[in-house]
Amino acid sequence: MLQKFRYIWLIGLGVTLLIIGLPMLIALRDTTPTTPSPWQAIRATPQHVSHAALINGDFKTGSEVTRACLTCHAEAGQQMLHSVHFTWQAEPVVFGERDQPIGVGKINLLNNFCIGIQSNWTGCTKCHAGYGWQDANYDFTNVEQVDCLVCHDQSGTYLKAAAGQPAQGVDLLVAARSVGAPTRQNCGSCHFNGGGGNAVKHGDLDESMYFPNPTLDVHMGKLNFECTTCHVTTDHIIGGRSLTSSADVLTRQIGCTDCHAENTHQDARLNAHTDSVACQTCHIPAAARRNATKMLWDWSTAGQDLAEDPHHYLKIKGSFEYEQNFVPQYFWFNGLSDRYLLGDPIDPSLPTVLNPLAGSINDPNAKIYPFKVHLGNQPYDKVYNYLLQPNTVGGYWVHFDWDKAFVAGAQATGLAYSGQYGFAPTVMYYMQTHQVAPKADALQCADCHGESTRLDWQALGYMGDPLIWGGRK
Amino acid sequence: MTTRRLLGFTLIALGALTLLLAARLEVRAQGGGSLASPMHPSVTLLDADGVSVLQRNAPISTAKTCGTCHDTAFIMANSAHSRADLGFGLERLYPPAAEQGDGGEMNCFLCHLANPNNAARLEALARDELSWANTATLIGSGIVERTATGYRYNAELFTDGALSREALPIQDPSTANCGLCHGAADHQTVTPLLVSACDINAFNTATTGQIFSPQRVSQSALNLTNKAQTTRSFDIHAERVLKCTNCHYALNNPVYYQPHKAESPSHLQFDPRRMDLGEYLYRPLHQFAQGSNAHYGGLPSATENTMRRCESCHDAAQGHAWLPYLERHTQVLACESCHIPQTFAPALEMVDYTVLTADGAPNQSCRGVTDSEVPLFTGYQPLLLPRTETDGTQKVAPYNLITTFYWAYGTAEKQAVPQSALQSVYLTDEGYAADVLAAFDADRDGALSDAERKVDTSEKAALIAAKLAALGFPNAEIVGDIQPFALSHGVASGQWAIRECRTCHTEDSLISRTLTLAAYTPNGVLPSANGGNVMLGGSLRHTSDGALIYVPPPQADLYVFGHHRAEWADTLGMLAFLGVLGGVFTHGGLRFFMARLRAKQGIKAHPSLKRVYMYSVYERGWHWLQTAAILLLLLSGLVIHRPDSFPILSFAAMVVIHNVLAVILVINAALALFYHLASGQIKQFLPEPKGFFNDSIKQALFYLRGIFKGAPHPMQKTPQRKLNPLQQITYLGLLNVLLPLQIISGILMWGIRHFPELAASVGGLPFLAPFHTLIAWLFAAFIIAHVYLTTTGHAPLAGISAMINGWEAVEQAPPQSSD
Repeated sequence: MLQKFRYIWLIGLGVTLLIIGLPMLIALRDTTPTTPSPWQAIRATPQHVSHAALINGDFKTGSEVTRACLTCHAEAGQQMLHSVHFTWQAEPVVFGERDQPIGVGKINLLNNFCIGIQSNWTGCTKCHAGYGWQDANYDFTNVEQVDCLVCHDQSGTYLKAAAGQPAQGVDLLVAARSVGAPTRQNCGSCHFNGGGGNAVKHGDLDESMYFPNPTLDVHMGKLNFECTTCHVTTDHIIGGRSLTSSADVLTRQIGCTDCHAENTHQDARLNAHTDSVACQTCHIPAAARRNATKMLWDWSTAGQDLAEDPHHYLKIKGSFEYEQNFVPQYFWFNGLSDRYLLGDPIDPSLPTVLNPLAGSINDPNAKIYPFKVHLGNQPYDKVYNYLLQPNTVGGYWVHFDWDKAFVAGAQATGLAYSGQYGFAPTVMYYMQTHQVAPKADALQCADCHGESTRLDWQALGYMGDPLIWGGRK
Repeated sequence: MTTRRLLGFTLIALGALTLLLAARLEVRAQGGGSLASPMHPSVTLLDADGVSVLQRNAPISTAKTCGTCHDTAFIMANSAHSRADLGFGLERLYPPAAEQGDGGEMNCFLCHLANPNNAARLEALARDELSWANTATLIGSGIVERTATGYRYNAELFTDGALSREALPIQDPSTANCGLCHGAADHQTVTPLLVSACDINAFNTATTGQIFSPQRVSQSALNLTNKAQTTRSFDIHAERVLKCTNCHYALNNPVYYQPHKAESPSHLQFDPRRMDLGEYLYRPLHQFAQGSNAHYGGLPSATENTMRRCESCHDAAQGHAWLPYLERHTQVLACESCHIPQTFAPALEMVDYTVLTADGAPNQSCRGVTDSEVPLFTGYQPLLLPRTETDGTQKVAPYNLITTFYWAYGTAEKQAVPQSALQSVYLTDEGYAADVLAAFDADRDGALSDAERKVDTSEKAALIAAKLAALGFPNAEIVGDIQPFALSHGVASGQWAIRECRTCHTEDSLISRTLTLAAYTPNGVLPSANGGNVMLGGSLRHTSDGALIYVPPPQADLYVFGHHRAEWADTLGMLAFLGVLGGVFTHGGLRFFMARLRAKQGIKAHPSLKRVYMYSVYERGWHWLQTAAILLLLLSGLVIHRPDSFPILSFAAMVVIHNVLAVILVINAALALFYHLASGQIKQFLPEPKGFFNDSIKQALFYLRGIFKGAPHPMQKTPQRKLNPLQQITYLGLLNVLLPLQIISGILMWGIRHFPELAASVGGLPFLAPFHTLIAWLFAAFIIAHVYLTTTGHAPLAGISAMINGWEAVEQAPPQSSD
């Protein structure tokens, strides 16, 4: 039969090619392991629809703009009512030994910058994604008080003033017609100015990130990321959380490994670090690389008529220390933190940590992370031994009378003021996670090991430099 | 909150505060971690008489001071670092002088303090204050200061005559200590590194361009080409926090000491009888593990090659999976050859001591730096030179060559003229001597320009020689030396090492690069090679502009595929190939011409044809598989042989393909042999003794005469007898001679990494490779002839078609010619 089959040669040709081709393919196949591209995790940017022709009207108030937005985006209002950007309060969770869950947020917390918003609403809510929050009786269920423009204005002309209302002279129609997906400018207008001015609070968020170069922030400067590229947003719920004001939960946590494989280094030595060292520790070699950030705020010196300089002393705020391009401090951290709550007792002779970090060398979930440590010296009640909420906006900042300020603060918080105050040291930790440097600027072995002092190994719980003493088991 | 958690938080907070306060005091003081020994006791500084230096404001005697606890006499007697006037100078590039005089006591501070003041030490030496040089090293520490009249100790720092651990923090030598004299060596990443070109006081950097630092090149302060892209560290070992003493350890340091293998009985894995730490601290041997030096001024041979080698710590088999023939590469290449692909700092090229500048310095030139106003570093690619390793093997390793020219005097054994003598020849207190100016200053401007400052005529040479003779240095003449300086620092990690095959496997291979030795030669003197264990067998050539270049020798025992080719193999092979090609064209042309002639004359052959099933499926299969394999082997072999003609093809892939094809060919050949043996078809290939010669002649005559006349084929092709006698002879030769030779030579070359001795026994690669090439040419020639002969059937394509379809129309033998 084979003798008669005319096209047997075709089969022969195929077999020959296979015999030659297959072994070659096997021998030449690329055996270098490939890691999945980090781009796979990046969501596509939705197509933008220009609203220039869609919006008409003579807008007198912000709420009128919101009403116009809601005619088409009806669901957005309800979504925003559940967003922490509007509520300033996270889902209730149980902190440590407390007996009931508490929903915390800017709405009810104290920090060691401007201290707290209660009684100071009109000043603080300039950065609230809503309109008209000026006292404790704010209606958090009114969709028309949502401020769409602060996040969506692309004209660059929108500005908020007292109680979050649009500033005088803002052309709301121009702003409304410009709306689009939030950009670095939208987020940065509040987040780069945390603490009352550019770069004050975080150490890793400041106005240098509006137009960063690749060496400052490789994601934004080289790859042109927006904030929302990583802070993935669904139904107006924005991913990510702040360890200083959000609740003790990891549900909204975002991280490097959302996109990057944990063992992405070509060097096994480096990969061996990722169990104990957070990406940020090496890839953010210094904090506040472009703009100096506040390291210390001493309220006790406020009220004096000294020479003023926003980086050293202001009569209304006291004295400060700023630092730029500094080596962060490094601590074990498992992503969770406790929180000092209004009325918690303090020992004024010791520094009170307002957001104590969880994690230690013995905690397998903890890694070494870089932090900016902000020191405060802030008012407390000498009789009740707790930190006090002063009324500063329209209060102390006008009359410079601490007593009056605490009385007004106590009225807002409902927490008694004995009439005797002092100043107590406080500490807050700000994890450094933005301003990721290009890999060529990442830390090297010698930055932590050997003769370097960047890491205090014994303070971290090691017997000594793990290069010589061995790592944690 | 649990108590434990609360406690943890409080502790963290307290720690943070402490740290913060400390950080405030010492803002960004990174890299300044103290290495100070936590156990070193307080020290009473003693003078030469063993009493406190405070008593008579006398210089510190390190031998007495440190000798209180350590055996300083032993240490100084056994160290190349034992003199107070320790240091490098250009004279180290010169044959060493016999006497060196009193060098003072060993300077312990220079290597055992964090911030020794080397500049003050050198100033003291320059002022001829030899006895104060060690004391001067402490200036700046607060212990001692230099006043207008001399030195003064700060008595307040002393407690009961002694300095506390804080006041005099004694430490193990850090990389920076070694770097004080040896070159750009550092352990920190914070302060950008700066290097000045060819500064002889940084000896090892000046002579080689090596930099030992963990810093990324891109973050250094060097003015360097391509800097931003060079994100590697200067040295991977420094990057991985190794310091000098990790490799160059004190030889009796119990941490590193390994007894020599030959000293222990073979059954013993570990000898627990060690020197204890106390004994070591009393008598620490200040001889340090080292490699080997081929240049002047190397250290005593007793400590040569005492250092651990790359392979003592590294397993090359791990991490080189991408590199074909790893074993072969490591047989002939030192690790440094690929892992030190370039330097970043410049290095000395030539030092000409035959002439002096107005400052009394020799002429010198650097490689790896531009001649511009602001010098731009380019670094240089070191020269790969074969050297004899301690185990007797020869490997290629990277070197810088420094050429020195100097005056030597005497009759039998020439000795170098000392620099001081040369200075009195050239210079007076007012500048150049008048007769020197008269001879050298061509433009009469009273100064010597760079161009004028050369001994470039025999008149000038004679003048200097005469002046030297007058000073008591008779028969002085210019001598030149070429010294190799090995590169073993500045190591790149794998990612930055040489990975491209064509760096070496190409016409312009790294191993055949020339190197400029000098821009000129004084009075035309050619330097001689002074290579030690380094083979400097190349030739020296002058370029048209007078520069001297080193041309590496053709290395007889090295055959680099793609770079080396043997003339004889290629010539012979090509002749055979062209001969066959020519023959085929002539024969084919004649056939064509004669056939047309016959057609014109109306002669038509009408052989009676018969369709026969000539080739079985298997026969056709193995034939075509072999065809494909051989053709592809020839092609891939050609790329390996001449990679420069195929720049887009990957050299490494071609090597892999060639090897895979060879395996396929050998298996196919073996299976075919088995088939032919088992089926008895082998007899097709075996000539029958009876009538073989007659038949052969008949067949030859047919090809020479009959075929042109359209005569019938003398042999009838049948499935039982497919091959005519000539074919049988050819295939016997092909299959029994060429193919086995090619397979064997191929296997030997492939196996050179596993059994190099076997290949070496038949001449090694320098014979095997050209031989393999020659046979490849013969195979190519065979293919031409073979294909042509398939057209000699009744119709030109009948043969090929039969090999495809199996069926062939063959001539039936006329009845009368059959037996």
